[in-house]
Amino acid sequence: MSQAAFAPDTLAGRHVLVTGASSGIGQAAAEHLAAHGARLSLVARNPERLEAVRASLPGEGHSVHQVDLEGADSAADAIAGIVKERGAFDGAFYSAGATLVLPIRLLKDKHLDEVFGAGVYGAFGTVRALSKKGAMNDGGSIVVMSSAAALRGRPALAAYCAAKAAVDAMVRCAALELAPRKIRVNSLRAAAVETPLHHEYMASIGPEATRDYDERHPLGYGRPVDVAQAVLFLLSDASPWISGTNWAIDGAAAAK
Amino acid sequence: MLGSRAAVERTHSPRPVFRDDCLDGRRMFVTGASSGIGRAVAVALSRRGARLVLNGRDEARLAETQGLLAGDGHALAPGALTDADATAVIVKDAAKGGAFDGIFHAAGFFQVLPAKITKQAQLDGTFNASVFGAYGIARAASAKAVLANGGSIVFMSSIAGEHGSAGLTAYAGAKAAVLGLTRALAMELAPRLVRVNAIMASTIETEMHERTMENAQMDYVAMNLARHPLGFGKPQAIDDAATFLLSDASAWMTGATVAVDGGYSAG
Repeated sequence: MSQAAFAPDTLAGRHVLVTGASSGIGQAAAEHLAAHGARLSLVARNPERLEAVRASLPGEGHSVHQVDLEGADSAADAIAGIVKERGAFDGAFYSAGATLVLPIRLLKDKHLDEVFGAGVYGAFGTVRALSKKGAMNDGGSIVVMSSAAALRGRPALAAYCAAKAAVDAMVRCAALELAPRKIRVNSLRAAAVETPLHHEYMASIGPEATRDYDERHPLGYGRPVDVAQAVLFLLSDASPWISGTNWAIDGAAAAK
Repeated sequence: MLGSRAAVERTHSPRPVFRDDCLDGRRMFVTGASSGIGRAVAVALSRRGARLVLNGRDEARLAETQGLLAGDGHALAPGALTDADATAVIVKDAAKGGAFDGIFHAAGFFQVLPAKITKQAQLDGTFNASVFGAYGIARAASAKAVLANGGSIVFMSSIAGEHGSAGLTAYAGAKAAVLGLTRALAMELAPRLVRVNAIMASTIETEMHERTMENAQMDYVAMNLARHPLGFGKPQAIDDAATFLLSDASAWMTGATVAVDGGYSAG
């Protein structure tokens, strides 16, 4: 029988940014963080879905912001605007980004731009904004979504794999830069989590690839809340000394 | 002052994160519990509701640890983890009181020893408790009667397992061995939903650390501190990571090397 681990007021009084909040892992994280007391500023592209998520959240004082995080500069400006409006952040969870199944021989500029846009450049812009004076309180914590794909290659996923590896490297450097202010920066390398994006991917691959994918997940596919638990841990006061890490939360997918 | 960094003022004061009952009714086996990290983790787990069996070499110090635990129903299983077979016997015997839900393996010691004077005897000393002990735990825990389905194993490892440091060839090998074991055992026990993870720690301020500092050259200490962007750690850093990994909050984490190292391995 599953036992709750975290105190309900784990993030009480903490202001947290959640991007990609309208669905999947971002949405699950928003729900979990709000359930543990956080006041959220939610970012995504789709205003209706964002508003629906906000309406469903426990707690109060959450806001929604329609932002396209495709470029570093536009992302940085948007986040700076949210800080002006809502005050400094104590935490941030960056989970915007797209996946793309396409062999290298078909990958063009526009595909690379799409996958690197929100997944990498938006992350850079967000961390840039958060590292400016007054944007994030000392002792804060930033978590960026990455993937086991950063380490383990798969056919037709080169753009996605490269984007995730890029983000992991950025996280390591950001951790070193922000350490003097005791701000931690970590990434989560998840494997397949049961979200709409996952179902899209599964629908696009054949039976052999499906079997192979199943086999890469000895503990089965994850649930969004599994990732949300790790986000909560890393944003909480239980992890002040953890920084610059790329956490494997993947049911052994990367251990293989 | 060496060993500390100027505290940066936090806007919010830290607060307890884990519920007092998050490990209620869970039986856990803790090695290396006579001192240092093993002791600190045992105390923390007991405060979160776990019932413990403590293992360590020093029976008197083990009893001291027991005295520090919250709650009751804890037991001692003293004994040196001299090799895999002796360890498996200790763990199996301890499980006669009921299958464990979690195992935390912190037995072993840190020693700076140039390769030039590292002989078989020193290698045995370094590998016995931390590596062969881990294998003994792996064997025992493969049985459902010793570690229940859905259980969690946490092996202590070190950044030395992945980052070279002069004087640490034996220690590095031992700690790297634990990481390899962790990944393979995670694969093997996944069908029973048993999770196996390793905590990769850097310098934590324990007695073992103080002894090292006393004997070390000043520039070794300064160099080591410089590799820790967030300073040296406190045992509590390990308590919280261990609690997370032993609790249901990490149900999908297995085969992972969790770096709890103040940013050491980022650079």
